[in-house]
Amino acid sequence: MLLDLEMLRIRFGAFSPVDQVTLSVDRGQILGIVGESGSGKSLTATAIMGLLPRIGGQVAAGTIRFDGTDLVGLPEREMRRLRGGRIALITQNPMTSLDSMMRIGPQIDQAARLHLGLSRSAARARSLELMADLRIPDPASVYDLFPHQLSGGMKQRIVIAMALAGDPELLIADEPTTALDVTVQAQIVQILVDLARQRGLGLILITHDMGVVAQACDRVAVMYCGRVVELAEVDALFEHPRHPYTQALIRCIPRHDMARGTMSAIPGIVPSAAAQPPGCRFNPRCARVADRCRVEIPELRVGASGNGVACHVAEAA
Amino acid sequence: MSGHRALALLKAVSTFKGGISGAFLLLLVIGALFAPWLSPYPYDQQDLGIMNQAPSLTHLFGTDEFGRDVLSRMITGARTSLSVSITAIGISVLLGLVLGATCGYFGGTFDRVVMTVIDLTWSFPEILIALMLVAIIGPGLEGVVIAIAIAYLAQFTRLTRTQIMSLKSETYVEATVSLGAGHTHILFSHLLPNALAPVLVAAMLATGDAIILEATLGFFGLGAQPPTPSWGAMMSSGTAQLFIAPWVILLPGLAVALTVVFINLFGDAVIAALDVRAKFREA
Repeated sequence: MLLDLEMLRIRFGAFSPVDQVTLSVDRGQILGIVGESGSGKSLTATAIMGLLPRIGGQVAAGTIRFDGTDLVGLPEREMRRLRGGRIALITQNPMTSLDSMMRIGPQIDQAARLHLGLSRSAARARSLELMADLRIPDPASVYDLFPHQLSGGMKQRIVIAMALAGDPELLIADEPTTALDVTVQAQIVQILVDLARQRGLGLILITHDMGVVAQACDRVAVMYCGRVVELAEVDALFEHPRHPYTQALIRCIPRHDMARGTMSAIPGIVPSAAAQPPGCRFNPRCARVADRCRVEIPELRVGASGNGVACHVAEAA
Repeated sequence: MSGHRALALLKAVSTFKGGISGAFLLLLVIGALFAPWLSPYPYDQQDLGIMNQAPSLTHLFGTDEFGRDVLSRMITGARTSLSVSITAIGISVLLGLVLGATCGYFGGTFDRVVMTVIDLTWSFPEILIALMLVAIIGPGLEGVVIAIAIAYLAQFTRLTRTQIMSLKSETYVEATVSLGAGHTHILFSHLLPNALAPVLVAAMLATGDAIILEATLGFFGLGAQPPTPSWGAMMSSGTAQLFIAPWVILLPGLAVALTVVFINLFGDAVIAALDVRAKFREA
């Protein structure tokens, strides 16, 4: 396994917004992390990047094993070498992810110069090559533009190029398509899928779009309130979702053959980190809630297949 | 980056306000730079036969109590005023950038200690701090430069700090951090270039104030020592002849006033062109 998270718990002061996160990605594999806003997807990514201290959090328990080394407690100096080098992050919003005072080219060059020790001209050549790979038209002239001169989709490609410049083995894309038009979204997702397949990158695709998951991912981790509630192969997940939350999510995907006015939604709202219900965190909204769910927190049990579900009802079935 | 700046400057100069003030300041700088060649007489040439003469064709701005040519002394005085205030503000901006960036970026105890001291200096009027410092260092141009630099330090440190603090949480900085960049790279390649524009405008406006401060210190006899002319010192010696030779005090005074007004007008034009007023208000 390239990346292996086991029972990860993230703590901010007295709160643990992320707990019991177990998931893994291999080279050439695409793992989707889905969940509503505030379910801890981005925090998990931040933890993998070792950037929690920047926002005042810390890993309280569990391991983040990258290619055999545990990243938890790794000295900052070594973490910095991995960050942007072997592990790269594609940030959420391409509109604000670029420095508006710096030309496009030098921004892409950064990682190659930092991690591969390339000279200015070698980094430039590499960046131009990357830009061409990402189907950016006329890389040589785009190289000298400023961010405000590019469209959103083009900026997202630049952000991807920045992440690829350090030659990463693991790529984390944190909602890479939320700020983009639907047509551009599909292109960007396709670019990411191709990258994982052709370069053998491990790719973690964080999204709240089940459509993107179905289109791109091999495996899926479904998160709710900071916990992984179901971990499965993508086909299995869509055909036989086991956790009631997953089932409800899939029911919420709009389809073209639906009758008018039959869009479904999950009743209730995501509880805040300060007001978590006792027992299973989904129990107030769950259609199949049992008495046990209101007192005992279900644990995610991952079987030999690497799949698992954290639900008393589903396990009993 | 530099293209942006050059364009903004061009835009500033192309307005009426910016054009007029820019032209005046350019003339002033040229005058100061080439003072020895431009002034009609040596600034220290005394001729007791022509004491306190009114402006005439031979002495355009008249003569002072030693029969020295006022115009020549003013041109050389421009040199003193400009070089002292620009050097002082330059030092102040550099120090302010370093201190403000360090405080804003790292925060913590260092930030608290430095900012407390800075706020303390800010609670006194600049003139008071400058007088106190010159009293400690001793009169002379070096003392004045240091005094002015420290008197204006608070302003630049605060401005830079606020800028850096708000820029620090921008997504592109986070993106750069996740590329594995170190603190130096983030500070110098991403934060400072973005924080610079408002600081430079503030520096330009402060240069106007610094010229007044320099003239004030000169007037008190704490700045340039005779025979080196400075506008403040000329006004000071002119007070004695206020009623027999008013030009000796009025003309240098006018020079100070005009210079400061035009610096402010030019600063305004640049603010409009750079569109940093919003950032200014935040700080």
